[in-house]
Amino acid sequence: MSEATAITWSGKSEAMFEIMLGEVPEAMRGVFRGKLSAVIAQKAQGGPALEEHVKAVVAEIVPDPFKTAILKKFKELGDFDIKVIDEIIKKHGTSQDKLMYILHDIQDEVGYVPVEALRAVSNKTGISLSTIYNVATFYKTFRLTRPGSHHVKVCCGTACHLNDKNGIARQIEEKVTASPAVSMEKTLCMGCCDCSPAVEIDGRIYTGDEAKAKIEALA
Amino acid sequence: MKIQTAEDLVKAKEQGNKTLFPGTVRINVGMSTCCIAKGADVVLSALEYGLKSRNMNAELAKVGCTGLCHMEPTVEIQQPGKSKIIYGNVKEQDIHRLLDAVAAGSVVEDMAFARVDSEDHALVGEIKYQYSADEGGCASVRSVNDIEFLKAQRKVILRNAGSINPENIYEYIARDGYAALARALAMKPEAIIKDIIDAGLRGRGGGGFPAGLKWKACRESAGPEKYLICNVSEGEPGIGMHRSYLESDPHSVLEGLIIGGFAIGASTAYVYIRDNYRIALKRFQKAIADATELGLLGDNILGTSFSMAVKVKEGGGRFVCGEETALIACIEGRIGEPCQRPPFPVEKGLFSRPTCINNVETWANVPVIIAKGSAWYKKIGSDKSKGTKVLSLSGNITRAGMIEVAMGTSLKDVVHTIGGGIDGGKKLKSIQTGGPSGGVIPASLETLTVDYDSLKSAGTMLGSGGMVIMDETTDMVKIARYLTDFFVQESCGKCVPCREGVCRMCAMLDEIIAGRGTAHDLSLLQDMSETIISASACALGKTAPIPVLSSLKHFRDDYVAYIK
Repeated sequence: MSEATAITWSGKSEAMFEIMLGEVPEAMRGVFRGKLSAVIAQKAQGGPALEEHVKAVVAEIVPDPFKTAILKKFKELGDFDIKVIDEIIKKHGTSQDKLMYILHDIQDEVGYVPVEALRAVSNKTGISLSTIYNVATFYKTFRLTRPGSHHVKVCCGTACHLNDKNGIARQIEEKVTASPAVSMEKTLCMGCCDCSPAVEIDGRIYTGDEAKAKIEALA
Repeated sequence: MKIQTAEDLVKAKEQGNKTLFPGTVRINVGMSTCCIAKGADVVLSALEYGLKSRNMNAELAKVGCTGLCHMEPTVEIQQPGKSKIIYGNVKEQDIHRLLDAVAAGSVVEDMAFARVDSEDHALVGEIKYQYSADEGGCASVRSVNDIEFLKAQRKVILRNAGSINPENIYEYIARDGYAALARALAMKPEAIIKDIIDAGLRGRGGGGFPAGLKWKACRESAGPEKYLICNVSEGEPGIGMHRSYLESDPHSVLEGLIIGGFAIGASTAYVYIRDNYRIALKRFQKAIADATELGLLGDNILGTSFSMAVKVKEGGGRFVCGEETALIACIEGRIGEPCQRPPFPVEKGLFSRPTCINNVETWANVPVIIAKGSAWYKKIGSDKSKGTKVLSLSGNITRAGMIEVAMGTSLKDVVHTIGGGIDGGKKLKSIQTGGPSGGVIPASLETLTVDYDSLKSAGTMLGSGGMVIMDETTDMVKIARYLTDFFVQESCGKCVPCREGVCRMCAMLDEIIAGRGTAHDLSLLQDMSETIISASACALGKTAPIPVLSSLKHFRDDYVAYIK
C-alpha cells in the first residue's frame, strides 16, 4: 500500500494499473498492488509512472489469455483518467457518508462509473470495495458500463404506461437495442406526466412521438 | 448585504418589487422541467432574440410551473397598469406576433388564454395588475376567474409558483417571504410548535401523522445534535408535483426548514432530492447560496444567535429511499434498506441523533402557518385534514397539471371540474390515488373527498398526492400487474415476504393475463396480499399488494373475464 502511493501517476497510467489489478483474484490483490507498483516504480526511475511502463509490466508479467484481455480493456478505457477521482475525493472527503457524492461526481465527469474507478475510490478512501460495489449497484442511478454516445431514458411511470397506447416505449427499445451508438435505460417517473409517454434523450425530455422521430434520426 | 432588521427586509422587498413590477413590460416564461420538455427553452430564446432585435426593454423572467401543464409552454405578459395575459401552447413562430402586440400595447386575442386583473395571494393579499377598469383593453379575453381549471383551486402552497422567478430571492421576499422566519425567530420555540400542532398540519408524505407532534417529540428527545430532513424522494410513478414545486418556489421550503430548525433545535438540515431532478437540485442550491448571502441562513440568522446549515443530498434512484429509515441509510452513504422501528428517527435517526423527517410539502406549509396564524390555517380544509393539498393530475385526463385544492374537495370536482373530464370523451373507470402504494378506486367512489381519512376508509390513501385517472378502456388486471411489477423492481430485497411474495404475485398475474388463471388464483392472491401486508418490515412491503387488493375488490369482473 505504502509503495503504491509513493508513485506519481501520469495520464491514464493509474487507471490502467487498476485494470491490471482487476485480473488478480481479490484476496491477493493487496500483495500484488505493492509488488507490481514496485516494479513500475523501478521502471519509472524516480520519474512519473507512464502508460508505457504499465503496458511493459503487463507484457512481461501477465500470461495470456489475461494479457490480451487487459490490453483490450486498456483500449476501451477511452478518456477516463483516475486523476479526476483524486480531485473529487479531495472535494468531498473520505468518510462513508460522502461515498454517494463521490460516485455521483464520477458519473458526471466520466459519463459512467468504471469498475476501475470503484477500486481506486476504495484504495483512496479506505472504504472496502465490497461496500462501494454494494452501494454502486444498489442505486440504479449509477451506470457501471459505458453508455452509448447517445443515452435514452424511457419513463416507466403509470401515466406514461397508460398513455402509451401505441407502444412507443417498446418501439424505442427495439430501435435502441439494434443500434450500438445509443444506450437505453428504463427509469422511474420523471415527473413529466403531462408529456406522457416521456422519453429523455441526452438530458432533455421529449414527448413520445417527438422522441421516436428523434431516435430514428440518431439510430 | 446581510438582512438583520425589519427595515432591511422592507428594503429587500422593494428590490423584489422592482423586477416584479418593473415599470416596463414583464414577460414570464414557465421554465420547469415539464415546460422545457414541451419546448419552453426554444420559446425563451426566441423571446430573447426578438426583444434584442427590436431593441425592446422588458423584464424577461424564467418562472416555474404555473400548473397549466396541459398547455405548456406558457407565456405571461404583464404590461404596467394592464391585466396580465396568459398565453398557452406558445410556439416559436408565435413570438413575432406576441412582441408586435407588446409594442402596440395590445393583446393577441386569438392566442390569449386568459387575463388576470388581480390575484389573491395567500400571504400578501390582493395583487392588482389592472389599475382601473377601463384601462387595458383586454375585456375580450376571458377572465382567469372563469377558467374552471383555476377557479376550483385554492393556492396556498403554490402561491408563488409560476409568478416569481425562483432564482431571485428578492422576488420571494417581495411576496412576504422570510417574514414568517423573522416572526418565528422572535417567538419561543415551544410556541412555534404549539402553532403547528394547533393548525392541525399533518405530514404530507402519505401517512398523515401530525407534524407538530413529531416536532415536539424531536425537540424533547435528548441528543448533542439534531437533524432535519426534507424528503423529496418522490419515486412513485405518476407524481411530479414535488419536483415542479421545488423548481418553482424553492425558498418557501427553505424558509420552512429554517423555522423548523429553530423550533426543534436542529442546526443541520439535509434535503434529499431524487437523482434526476437536476433543475430542482440546481435551483435549490442557488436558493441556499442566496439565502446564506443575505444572512437568512448560515451563522447568526437575521442577526440572532441562531445558526443553521442546509445541505443537499442527491439520491440514487430507488423508490424505497422514500421510507424514512432507508432515506437515513442513504444519507449515511449506505444502501437504502429500511430498518426496524422503534427506535423512531425522532429518537435515534441520522448518525444516531434525533432526526425530524418531513416531506417537502409539509415544510412548505410551515411559513404559511407562522405568517397567517393557526386559526387562519385551520379554517381551510375538512374536519380532520387541515389546509390544502397539492395534487399531480395525470393519466387519461383532458387537463393534466399540478393543482392545489383545499382538503375536503371531492374527487369528482378534481376530475371533472379541474381536470375537465376524461380525454377523448370516454368514461371514467378508475382513479389511482397516492401513487402505486395507494389503491385504485372505481368511478362510483368519486364522491370521496381529498382528505386522509376519507380515502383511507375506502382502502386507498392520499399518499403524497398523485392522481392517475384511468378511462373505461383500461384493463385493471394489466394495471395491477404493471404496479406489482414496479414493486418487484423496487423491493430492496431485505425481507422475504416483500422480495419473494410480491414476485410470486406478479408471476400469478402473468398467468392470469395469459389465460391460464383459475378462480382459486384469485383467492390465493387475496391470501398472499394479506400475508405480505402483515409480515413485511417496511411501508414498501406493506403497501405493495394494495394495487392487487383494491383492484380485486373493486374490479373483480376484469379478473373474472380472464378466467372465464
